[in-house]
Amino acid sequence: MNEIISIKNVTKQYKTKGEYITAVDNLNLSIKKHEVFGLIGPTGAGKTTVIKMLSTLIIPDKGSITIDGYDVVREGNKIKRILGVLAGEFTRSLYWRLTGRQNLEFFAKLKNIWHPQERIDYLTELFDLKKWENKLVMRYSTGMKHKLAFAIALLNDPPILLLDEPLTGVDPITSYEIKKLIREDFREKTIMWASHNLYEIEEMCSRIGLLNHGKLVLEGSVEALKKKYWSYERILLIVDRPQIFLEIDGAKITGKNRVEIKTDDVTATLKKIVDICIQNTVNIEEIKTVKPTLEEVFIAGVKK
Amino acid sequence: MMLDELRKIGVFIKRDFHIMLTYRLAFSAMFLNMVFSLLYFILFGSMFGTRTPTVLLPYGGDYIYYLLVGSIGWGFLWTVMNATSASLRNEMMMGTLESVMLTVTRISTIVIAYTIFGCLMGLLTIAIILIVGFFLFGITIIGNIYAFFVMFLSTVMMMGLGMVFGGLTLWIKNIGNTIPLIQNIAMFFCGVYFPITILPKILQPIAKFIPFYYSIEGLRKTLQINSSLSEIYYFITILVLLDVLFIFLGLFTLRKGVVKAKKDGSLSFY
Repeated sequence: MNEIISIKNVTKQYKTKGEYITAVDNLNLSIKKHEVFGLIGPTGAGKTTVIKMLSTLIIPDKGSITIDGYDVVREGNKIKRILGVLAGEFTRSLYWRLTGRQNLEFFAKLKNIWHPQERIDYLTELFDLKKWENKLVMRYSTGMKHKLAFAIALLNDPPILLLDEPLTGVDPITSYEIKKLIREDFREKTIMWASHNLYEIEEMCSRIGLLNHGKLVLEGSVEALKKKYWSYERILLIVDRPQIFLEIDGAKITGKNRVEIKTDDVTATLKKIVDICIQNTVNIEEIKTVKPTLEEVFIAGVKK
Repeated sequence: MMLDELRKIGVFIKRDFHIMLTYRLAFSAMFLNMVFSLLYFILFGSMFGTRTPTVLLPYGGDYIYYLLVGSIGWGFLWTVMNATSASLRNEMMMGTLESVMLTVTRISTIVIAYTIFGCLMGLLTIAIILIVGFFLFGITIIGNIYAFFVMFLSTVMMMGLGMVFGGLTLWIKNIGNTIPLIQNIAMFFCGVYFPITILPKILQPIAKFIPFYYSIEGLRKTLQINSSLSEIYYFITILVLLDVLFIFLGLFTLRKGVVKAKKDGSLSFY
């Protein structure tokens, strides 16, 4: 896969009341074509600044950013043609006193799409906005405004999408529809998805980067990062005689009838459990493997 | 590229008309307000009856006419100026500036579109005042073709000045609040409601340093005393020079303002 977004040694500081605050600190990151990259981090970690620098809305102080070979500072217009952005308070990015269709037409023409009717029809169908397209946006629900903002970002059918907290404030149905759309229809697109909702990141992204205080503290696939922090998995057992499982390495009783076993080899440990159960006729009420969550990786990364 | 930008100006103007039509009450109130302003001027001017104040003799002597030309010209110029200077402020306040700047649209296109919309609103205002003035009070304004020339040059000047304020808005967010102050001070010295000859002698030369003076005086000469081109040549020359200066300053300030806002990350708030 080719690299499509390249961030090299990028630093961004903001001046507040005479003091400089570092939002992004010497960031190096590369995103490959057709990849869904998740950018996670606590509030104020610098995620939005990164998205806005990529979107050409903020100029970095140091370093360079290129998208598909174009420099974000010098070749902003070339980048805007291949970019779809959903950033900031995007329900405010709409004209509430225009209808949904008027908004779509307006932004389509600003994107140099002079005959956008077919594309608008497609997008209003895709986002289920057809019935509402001739109503003023001020009458839309928050979910509908989200969908409209998303439709605007897709007007030019961009190969690269930058999504900053795209599902925040979205109801579960809209959230499900947007995720389904991205999974099924956007396989050819490169997506950077910034969020602090780790569940959606884990669900949607093939690779993640963890930003903390503007620095990239972790980077890799979700599975690789989990393995990096937890080389073991846990098996949880709820049984009538927990003490007989203490002969297994890594086992400890963590509650009434509850045993937890840390293991590097889940299959072998399960086999031992089965043997013990057969030999001792133990009643198993519940057995499950517990994998480390992205949340645990996140906390470990932030504390690092 | 250039053609696309011209087409986009049309797209912005269409958007503004759509938005304006959703504010029907405010729109109607604005025009009613104009009609009452006209009535106010006419009653005010009628106090002089048939007497002709000597200070008005260089302008034909009719105070109602003097007030009308002054207020129409001044109103038009500041409608343009306010539309231009408020362009980026409005987009920032609505939160739409970032989404517009994510498209391949020049910042000057946004500003010019607002200016043209302002011009159209200004012309609509003038038309309403003239129609109401003619049918209710029998007032007619007959000038020469050079009035349009003065009007055009003044519009360009105000657009340049509006760009300066538009650019400064990106820099110093609430700079727009100073505009009414500038407007009131300038009005005092520019002979909008009274000839500058009634000011103390020491204050009269100040007018020459205020750009709007050349617009108002140029309009009076072409609309009130039907001056020839040679008689208004001086005003036209100064207006052309002011146009070049303000457009240059305006483009420069806008460019600098955008870069500053992009460095500060402040495009999305006002």
